[in-house]
Amino acid sequence: MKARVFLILCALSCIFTLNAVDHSAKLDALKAVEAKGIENPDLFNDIGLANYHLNRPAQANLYFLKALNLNSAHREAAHNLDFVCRLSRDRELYPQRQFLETVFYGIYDFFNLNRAAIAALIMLLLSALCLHWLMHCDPDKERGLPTLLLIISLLFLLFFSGLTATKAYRMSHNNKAVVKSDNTALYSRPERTARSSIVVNEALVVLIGEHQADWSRIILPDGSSHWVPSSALLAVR
Amino acid sequence: MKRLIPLILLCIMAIPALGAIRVMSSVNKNTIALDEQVQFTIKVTSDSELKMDDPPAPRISGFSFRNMFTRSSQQISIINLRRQIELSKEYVYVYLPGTTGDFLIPAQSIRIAGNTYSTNPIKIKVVAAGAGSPAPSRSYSPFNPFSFDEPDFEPDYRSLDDVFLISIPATNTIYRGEPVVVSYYLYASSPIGSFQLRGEEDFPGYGKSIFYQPDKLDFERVTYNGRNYTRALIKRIALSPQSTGQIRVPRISGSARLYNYGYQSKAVQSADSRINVLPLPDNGRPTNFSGAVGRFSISESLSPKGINLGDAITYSLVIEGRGNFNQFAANPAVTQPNLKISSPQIVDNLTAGIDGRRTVIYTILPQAAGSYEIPDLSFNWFDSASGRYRVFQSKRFMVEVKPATVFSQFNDLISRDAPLSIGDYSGDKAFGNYPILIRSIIYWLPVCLILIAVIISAMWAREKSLKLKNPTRYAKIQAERQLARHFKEAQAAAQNLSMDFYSLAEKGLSGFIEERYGLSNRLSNAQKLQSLGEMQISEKVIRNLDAFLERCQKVKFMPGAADAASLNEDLVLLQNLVRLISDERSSGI
Repeated sequence: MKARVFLILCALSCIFTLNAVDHSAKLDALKAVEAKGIENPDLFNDIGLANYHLNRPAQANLYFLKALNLNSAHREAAHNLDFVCRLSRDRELYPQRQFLETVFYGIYDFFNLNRAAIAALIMLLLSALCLHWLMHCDPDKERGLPTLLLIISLLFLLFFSGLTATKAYRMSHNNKAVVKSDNTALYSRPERTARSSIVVNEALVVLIGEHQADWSRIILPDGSSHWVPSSALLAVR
Repeated sequence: MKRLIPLILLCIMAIPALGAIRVMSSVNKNTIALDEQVQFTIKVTSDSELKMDDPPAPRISGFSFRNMFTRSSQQISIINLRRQIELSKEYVYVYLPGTTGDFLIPAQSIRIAGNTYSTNPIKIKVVAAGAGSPAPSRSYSPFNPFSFDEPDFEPDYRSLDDVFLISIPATNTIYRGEPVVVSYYLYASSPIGSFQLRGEEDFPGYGKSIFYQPDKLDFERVTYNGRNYTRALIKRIALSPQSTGQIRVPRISGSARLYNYGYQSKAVQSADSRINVLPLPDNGRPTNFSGAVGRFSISESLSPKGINLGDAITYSLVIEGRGNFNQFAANPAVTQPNLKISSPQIVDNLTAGIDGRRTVIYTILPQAAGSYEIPDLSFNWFDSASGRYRVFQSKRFMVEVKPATVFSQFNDLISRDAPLSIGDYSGDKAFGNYPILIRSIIYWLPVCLILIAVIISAMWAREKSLKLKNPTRYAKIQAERQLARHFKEAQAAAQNLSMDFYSLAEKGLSGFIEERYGLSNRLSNAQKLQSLGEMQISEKVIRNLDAFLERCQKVKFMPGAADAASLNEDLVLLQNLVRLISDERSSGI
């Protein structure tokens, strides 16, 4: 009888072990893939999730940001970043976006680098076709329509080319960073004596403005600018 | 006179500004008996927000300070279509006389916004008890800010014994897991000034949370054990019993300060109180019992019922009432082919975790177009009111999923709700490098092709335009191209020491003459040269042309007439001839 009970308990513990996700092991496996130099938004999102489950929100946000840096339209990473930011102790610092702002950023994020590049290519093709039509149309006929279409497609081409260039630049020069630990003191100047009364907490997403020696000037989500030691930040790039 | 008018206007405008803050003092009675109290009031009035510290209580000889309270009011009036606001704040100091005689409340200095304001001194006469002026009727009204702020009942100064704490459970018999609210009241026959909670003693068998904590003592008249009392709620706590049998409710203790001559305190402790906890019955217990115990009402909603593929359907189960919300979760939905159902997300709007509303949200994502029945969703609980287990079963919902539209791809673009939970892992898949198109040749190849096509198209269009607008110029260009092409071919043949040089050179020259001067190839060389002479072509060109064409004819019809050395000479001759023709062309002929 005792042996049966023991066997049942063993079986139950095996079932629970199989069902439970070992986030630590998962993180190790994902990190091993990353160490091979793989850059993939799904991979970064999964690493962020594993870090979140291991109660490392700063690392989690860093990897969500890395995923979004590669693919700004990555819904899961944006969702998870939003979720972690809303749980943050500094959530009040994040601005509440108005409707039009939300729409604008929604469109901006939707057109990730690849989508913007494809849109630019399509617009280039349309512009070429419109130009061909305009150049080869009968000179005695009305040229208004091809001219209008050419102007419109050129404007879109200009827009998407600019967007592609901007996205490509921002991808390689991403200045976002995450605050590494709780109660990080901010400074008004890059000096230890210029400590301000403001402290920020782990996982706050900031922008790095400039560097001076071991100091970085950061811009908080509310727009205010401060200095912190560079070692207090985890930079996306 | 004209200079005086602006000055007068300025003075008139300055008057309201000077009178913006007013400070007055008063007493409720100028003559009081020895057993009465006097209230000295300082009233500050302003037409803007008052920023000042509370003035300290004045020292009045012959009186002892007892208490101080404040009250404020705001009055808005519209005069001559202008909105005027008057804010006032009153500081009321209560004093007790120590002896009979005439006394003086000295003038008080108050600093407000950097300025000092003074009140007038006030005389007070204290007479022996019972000989004073008749006391004015006390007009307590909770809606009148200038009335007494003390409750209008006769205080019983004689005894401190009738002050006690009572704990009152909402019910004395509950089921295990069913939360119960216990109210703690302070009873007193004397008016209470304040109550300070000192401690709370817990007993085994329950978990607890604060249900309601009042921020002031609100007294009400009650009858308890046949006597009249006033009572005030001290706090309400929610107990969640974790064992069956009798449990003792927490005991709280504190000190009550009584209104009397001077404050007097009394330590009080709540009386012992017990609740009987019954076990949940085994009879009728569902196999998948959720663990919910309480009094709930359940409702459900589904929206929308018709969607496009790619849109989501939201099923909401609303559980309202009082129960152990923090001890049960929602059941996961049964999966169904072509319907992806999220794990339930819970939105709580609860007081102390036991009372209010819980909304369980299931997000359903159809994977293909068609008609679907939403899978059964159920919720069971133990209804403590009826003492029976109950089950709520969702209705049968049919949803129509249409094929996706272009616009449905943009749903997430416009509105993004606040996320309610963290996402899931992307699954056990192999990760490769994310392709960046602009770093790939596959992207730049079509870009180059398009640009080349545009250039070719532009050249083509230019030639078409030239042919249409200036045919002569177009013909000249074509002739020059032909000459250049044949010259190159002839040059290549000469370098290979091929006798094809002569035929290519002759062909090129004939073609050029035909294109440029419109002389048909059917004409003989002599006829062509004659025609060229008539066209005022220089003699030198005609002579060289004649010599070269003759040489070509000779070689063509006399095999062996040319060797490698003569081939080179003839190539030089052809080069000279082409140069002459080019010079002729540039000279405008």
